[in-house]
Amino acid sequence: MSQSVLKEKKVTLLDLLDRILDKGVLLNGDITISVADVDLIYVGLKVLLSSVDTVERMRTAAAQSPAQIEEK
Amino acid sequence: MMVYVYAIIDRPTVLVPAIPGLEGAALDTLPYRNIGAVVSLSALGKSRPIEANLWQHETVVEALMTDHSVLPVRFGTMFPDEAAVQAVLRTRYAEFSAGLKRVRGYVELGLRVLWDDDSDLPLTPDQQLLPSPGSGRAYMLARLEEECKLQVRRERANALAEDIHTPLARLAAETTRQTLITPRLLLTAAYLVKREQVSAFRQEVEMLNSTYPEVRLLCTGPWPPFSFVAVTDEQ
Repeated sequence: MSQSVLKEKKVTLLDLLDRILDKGVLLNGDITISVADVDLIYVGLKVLLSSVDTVERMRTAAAQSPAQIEEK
Repeated sequence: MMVYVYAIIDRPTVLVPAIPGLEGAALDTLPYRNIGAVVSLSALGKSRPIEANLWQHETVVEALMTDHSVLPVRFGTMFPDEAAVQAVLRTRYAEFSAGLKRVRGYVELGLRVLWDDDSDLPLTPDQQLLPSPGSGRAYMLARLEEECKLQVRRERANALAEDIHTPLARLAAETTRQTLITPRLLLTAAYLVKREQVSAFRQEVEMLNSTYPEVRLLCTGPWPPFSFVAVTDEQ
C-alpha cells in the first residue's frame, strides 16, 4: 500500500473525529456528550452545558409554569 | 429513551443495513415526504464519544451510503421522540432535499499535506540570543528580519498549497481548504469527488507526492460527505 493513502488507524481516527464531532448536519436536537461520566447536554444550537438532571428539571418546570423557571 | 439520529437519507423508508446501531439498538427510518432520517433508540447519556461508538455511527452511515444519497448527521444528535425528528425534516425539507441531490454519487476525500521544511523556520523568541543591553536598534532589526522570514515562508506556503490543491480541485465538485493551521501542516483540505473518480484522485495524489519531495500528502477516505452538507462559498 502506498504511503500517501494511509489507513493507519490513528490518522484515520483523527480524521473521523474531525468530521463526526465537528461537521455533518447539525439538527435541533439535544446533543449529549459524556465527559468523565457526567452527562453534558448541548441544548439546541446554543452551547449550554448543563447536567442532564438540571435540563430535565428545567424542561419539566417549563412545561408546568413557563414564567417561573428557577435556576438551581 | 431518546431517538438517536445517524443520517438524513433520500428515501422515506430504506432497507436498513443488517448492522446494529449504538448500544446494539435496531435501526429504523422515519419518513417525511420523499426523504427520511435513519435512527435508533438510545438510552439517554449512552452516546459517549468513545472510539467504539464513533466507529459504530460511522459504520452505519457508510453502509447507508452504498445504496443511497446520505447527509451524515453529527455524532450525539438525539431527540426526545420520533415526532420531533419528523418536525425537523419538515422544517428543513428544502435544505435537506437540495443537499441530498448535491451529494448524490459523491464521496469525500480528505487531504493533509505535511511540509518537511524547517530550514527557514524563524527562531522562536526563547531560541533567539538575548540582545546585549542598550542595543534596542539591533533587537528591532532582528525582529524585522524574523518577520520578513515568516512572511516569505507564508507566501511560499500559499504558493505551494495552491500548486497542490489546484490539480486535485479539478477532480472535485466542491472543496474546502485551510493553509498552515500549524507551521508544518501546509494544507488541510476536503474534496467532494464522484465515486468513479476516486482512483484518478488517488493517482493524482501519488504524482504530487513525487513532484514535490519536500511535502508528504496523506489522503484518507472515501468518507461520507461530512464537510459538504451545507452550501459553501468555496468551490
